[in-house]
Amino acid sequence: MTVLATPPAHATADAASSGGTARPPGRVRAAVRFTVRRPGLLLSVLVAALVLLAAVAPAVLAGGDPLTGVPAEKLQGPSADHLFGTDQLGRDVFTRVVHGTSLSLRASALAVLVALAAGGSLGLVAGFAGGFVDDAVMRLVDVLQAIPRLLLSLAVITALGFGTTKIALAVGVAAAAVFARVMRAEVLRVRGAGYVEAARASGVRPGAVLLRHVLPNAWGPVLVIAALEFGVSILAVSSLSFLGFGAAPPTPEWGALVADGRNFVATAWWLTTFPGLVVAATVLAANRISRALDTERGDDR
Amino acid sequence: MTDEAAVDGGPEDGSALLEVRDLRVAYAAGGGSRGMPREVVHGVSLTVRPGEVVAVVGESGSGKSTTAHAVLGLLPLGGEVTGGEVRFQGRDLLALDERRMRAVRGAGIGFIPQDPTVSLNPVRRVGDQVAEALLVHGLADGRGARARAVELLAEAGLPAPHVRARQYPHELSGGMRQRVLIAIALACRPRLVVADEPTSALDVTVQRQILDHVAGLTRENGTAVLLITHDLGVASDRADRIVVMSGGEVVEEGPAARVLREPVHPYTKNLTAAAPGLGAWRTVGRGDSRAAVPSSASADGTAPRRIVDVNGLGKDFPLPGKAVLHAVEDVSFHIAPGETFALVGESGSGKSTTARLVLGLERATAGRIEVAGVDVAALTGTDDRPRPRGGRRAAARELRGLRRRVQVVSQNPYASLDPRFSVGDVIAEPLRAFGVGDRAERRELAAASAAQVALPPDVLTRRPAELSGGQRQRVAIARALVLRPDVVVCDEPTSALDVSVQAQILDLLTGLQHELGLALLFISHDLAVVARIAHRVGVMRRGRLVESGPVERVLADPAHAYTRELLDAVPGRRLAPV
Amino acid sequence: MARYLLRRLLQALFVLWAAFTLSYAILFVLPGDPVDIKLGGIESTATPAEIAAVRDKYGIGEPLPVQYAKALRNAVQGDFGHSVQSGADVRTTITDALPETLKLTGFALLLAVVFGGGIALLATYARNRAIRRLLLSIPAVGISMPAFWVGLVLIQVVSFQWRALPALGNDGFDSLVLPGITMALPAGAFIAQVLAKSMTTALAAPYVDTARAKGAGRARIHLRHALRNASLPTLTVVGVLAGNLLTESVVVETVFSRAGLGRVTAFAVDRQDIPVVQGVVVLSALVFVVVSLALDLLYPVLDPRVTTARAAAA
Repeated sequence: MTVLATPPAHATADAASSGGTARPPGRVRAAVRFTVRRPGLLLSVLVAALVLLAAVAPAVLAGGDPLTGVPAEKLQGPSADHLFGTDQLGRDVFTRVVHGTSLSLRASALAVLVALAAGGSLGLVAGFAGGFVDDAVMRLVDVLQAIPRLLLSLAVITALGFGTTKIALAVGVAAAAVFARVMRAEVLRVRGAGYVEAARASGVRPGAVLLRHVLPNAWGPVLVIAALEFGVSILAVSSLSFLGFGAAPPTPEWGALVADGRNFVATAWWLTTFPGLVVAATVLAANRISRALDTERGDDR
Repeated sequence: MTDEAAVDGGPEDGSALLEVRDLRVAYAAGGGSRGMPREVVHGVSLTVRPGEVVAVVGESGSGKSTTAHAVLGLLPLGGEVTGGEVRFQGRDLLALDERRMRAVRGAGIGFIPQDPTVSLNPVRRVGDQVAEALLVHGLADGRGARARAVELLAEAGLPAPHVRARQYPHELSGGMRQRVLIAIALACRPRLVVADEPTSALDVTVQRQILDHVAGLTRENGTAVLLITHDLGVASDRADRIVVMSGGEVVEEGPAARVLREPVHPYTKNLTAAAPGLGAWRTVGRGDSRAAVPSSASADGTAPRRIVDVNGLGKDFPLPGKAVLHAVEDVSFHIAPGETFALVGESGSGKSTTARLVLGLERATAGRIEVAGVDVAALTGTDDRPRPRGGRRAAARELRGLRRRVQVVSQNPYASLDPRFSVGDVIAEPLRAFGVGDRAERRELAAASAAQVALPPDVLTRRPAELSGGQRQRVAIARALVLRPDVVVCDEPTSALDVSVQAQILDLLTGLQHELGLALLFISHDLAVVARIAHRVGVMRRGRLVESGPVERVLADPAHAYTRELLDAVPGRRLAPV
Repeated sequence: MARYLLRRLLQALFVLWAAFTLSYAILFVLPGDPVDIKLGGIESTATPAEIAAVRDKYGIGEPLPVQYAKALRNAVQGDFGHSVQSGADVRTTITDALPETLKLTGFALLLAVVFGGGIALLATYARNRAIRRLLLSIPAVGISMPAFWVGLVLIQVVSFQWRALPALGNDGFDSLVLPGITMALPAGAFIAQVLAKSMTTALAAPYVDTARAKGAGRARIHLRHALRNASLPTLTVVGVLAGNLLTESVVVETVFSRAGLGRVTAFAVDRQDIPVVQGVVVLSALVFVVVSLALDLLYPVLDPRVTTARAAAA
């Protein structure tokens, strides 16, 4: 068939200037300019930075003790002293949220890593091997996707028992199917690309084709999904922690904090509102950044 | 009247049907609101008189298509008219509001879009889509519109229109879909039809039928046509007047015969010289840019040396159910060192599959493919002669050895280069694959290869995305040559490129062939390109080789009816001076 | 057509079997012995005779393949055994709890489709860039909010401050509104995102240019041309959501203290009541399979290309 490929606009634009065109500006500088021009994205990056800081060095943001409170100051509303108010034991809610960040974030990251490792390798094998292997792997993925992810996580928790790490594993197992699908689709897309065919035709060995062409080009979309899945995992981990399947009571964990405040929902709104807001803001930031990664990749092509 | 462009035959009076004056169109940078808008059409003026066919000719990026869309008020998102006027029957269309403009679209100006395969709504019956044109302008009621739609489809040359009207677009071929789009464009009997590359996506024989049909219908109804095309041949066959655009400006305008025979502007001169029109080849004579076949090929009366020898080649693809598609059937040809053999045919003729078989990328169903004395088909195994299990590794090794001698330049330079590699790495990749030299040597060889295809040295460190289409195809050629192969398979190497760039690439290939004694297997749908580059040609149709022989003989005196049909369909006969 | 249906039916049965087997593998093979759980774990004071009786009841003494075969045979007959906690029949436990949850998810799905679809259509129809962007940013926010938190905020504001709707319980339609909204918010946001994206793609398609060149109006182009093409991916999403919402009820029913399948599931997970969890997993796979079958029959009606493509493949 006659393919009348429409060349991308920038390709035709530089057709005239074949000589010494300026090199593209540094990637970092371009990324900074890209971000600053988009206020929503800038805000998301700031939120993400704050959350990361809270996870790595909680004491910088909140010096107090998240576990012991001042009984005299119990159930106080938000004020300059207690940004998010205090709970029924007089503990500062802001301090508890900040100190809970590390645990919640690590669980979400672990979930994404598990999903990426398990699903990614399944998808890679399926897409590259093809044939019977592909069929078998994809049938398994079909079945995983027939069961809602939350339920799959719940089943794994039923078997493994409670705890933050177990929650993370459960969420990761449930998310693996998504990565398997995306990875396989990308591998198939890249495998069919003209440059892979060209490499094969010019004598490059299959292993080298996989390492030098297929993987590097299939990786991008998978990472975009990873960023998106990070947001989804935060939601899933905090939901399971809210249901009480996470860490034991005194440990601050985002979902558990909301669950703790639930008994005071009529009298002390701040106990549930602020931790939930932090979860929502973090997820929103993760989603926005993932979208930015996606469009930047789109511009690259 | 005071236009600065070299206009002759412009409107002396108010008789113009469409008058575009000083039209400027800009696109917002990046498609969004941020950044400076980029002007792509810089003050274009042109006129179409009633019943006249005006062709706007230009290469990609010339602004011809944008101009056409601006006339209809159908610019894509981010596009905006920033100046000038578009007068249709005396009214300035740019001043109309959306509602009034809607009344002009379809009723006053019809539109035939570029790609028929995607221009019809896939989920609605084609008859309804034709009827809709009448309905929105209140020219018929529901039942009347449907009945009229069948008539219009018949008029557009669609066989069995009452059956077709009830079908969905995917049930029709590309040519049939374009006829549906023609029926839509002409449904309301508009005074003007804007046709944006109406046949570029179609095979050449279908293209001819469609263009003939449009010409007939518009002449009958006295409809004027604004024909947008990249193909000077099509323009020369169809237009009364030609407007040549380049870089968003009109560089030349005038009666078709004058523009073609005595182009004034240097750009037009280039374009007419580069156009691989068949007529041009016939008059310029044989062997214009082709390398002479080395005399050693058949000098001493012995059988000519053959670097590629294909015998009884066949390839079947299983179709759903028990059916089988015979993509290639009983194809035989040979190529001597230093010779170019072209396989020409329309889409689905099996020419590309044949190329893939020769490259060993596809397993043959039957036949022999000898390249430099090695049977490729035996190495990949065929369906009737599976390769011995024990010898698989040896066969794979030998196949890889063969790849050193047979390289490929593929169709689409926008897809065939890994976007993450630098150009230097792309060219050096085959060296790396075969472990030739160390890093420094490889870099040197790649640079030498790049120089050979006339790429400037600074290109080596850039990425493919920073290069133009022509440059990319040069990179692909440099990659193919870096291992010093005996045979290069070129699969439609110029079909994604503009004509002026096409000519450069073809000249480059012939020059290299002469220099290196390469044998070329050249796959193309374009007889004009084949005429320019090939020594011998094989014409393929539905998987079979219907005719083959020296280019001069086949083109001048075709033996097979299909070859004649193909030749007659090639546009641009008027390009040849009488 | 009949052959195609038969094939799809066999595929559906395969998915059901695989879901059963997968959940069996996760729940019964991994550590966590129902007997320990039933009898109180390590500190159990049960006599060996008691243990033996329970083991016998759950068929635990036998080799794994035999256990699995028995469980599968029972499951085919709709028997998923008895709850380890209450001793009640798993099937009745689930079917008793299901109607309340179906009401909730049905209502939530309706809200999600109406509002999610509405926002997407408005956003793609709006000419004003600011309005467009505002409308399009709503789904992005909606999809990021944890359902348990949304529910609690709604209770705070609507039930306690405004005293408008009940915060808890299963008491008629009033008590359905808040949990319904809570459940519909992320689902509707998801629908809006998918539909808006599909609409944008469809509106940029060349066939829309053809329609505009005919002189067709904006409403006609959006509703007659783009929406029909954009509805297919959205429908797929709605189908997947139907199954997911059933599970989302675990969170929402907990927040609003509603009785239903979600509560049953949460309780079962909490007590490691394996037979009940497995029953719920198989039920949700069943829902998924039925919904996909229904969608498969609906697709050809919406997109004529689907029939021939599928029929040719069959």
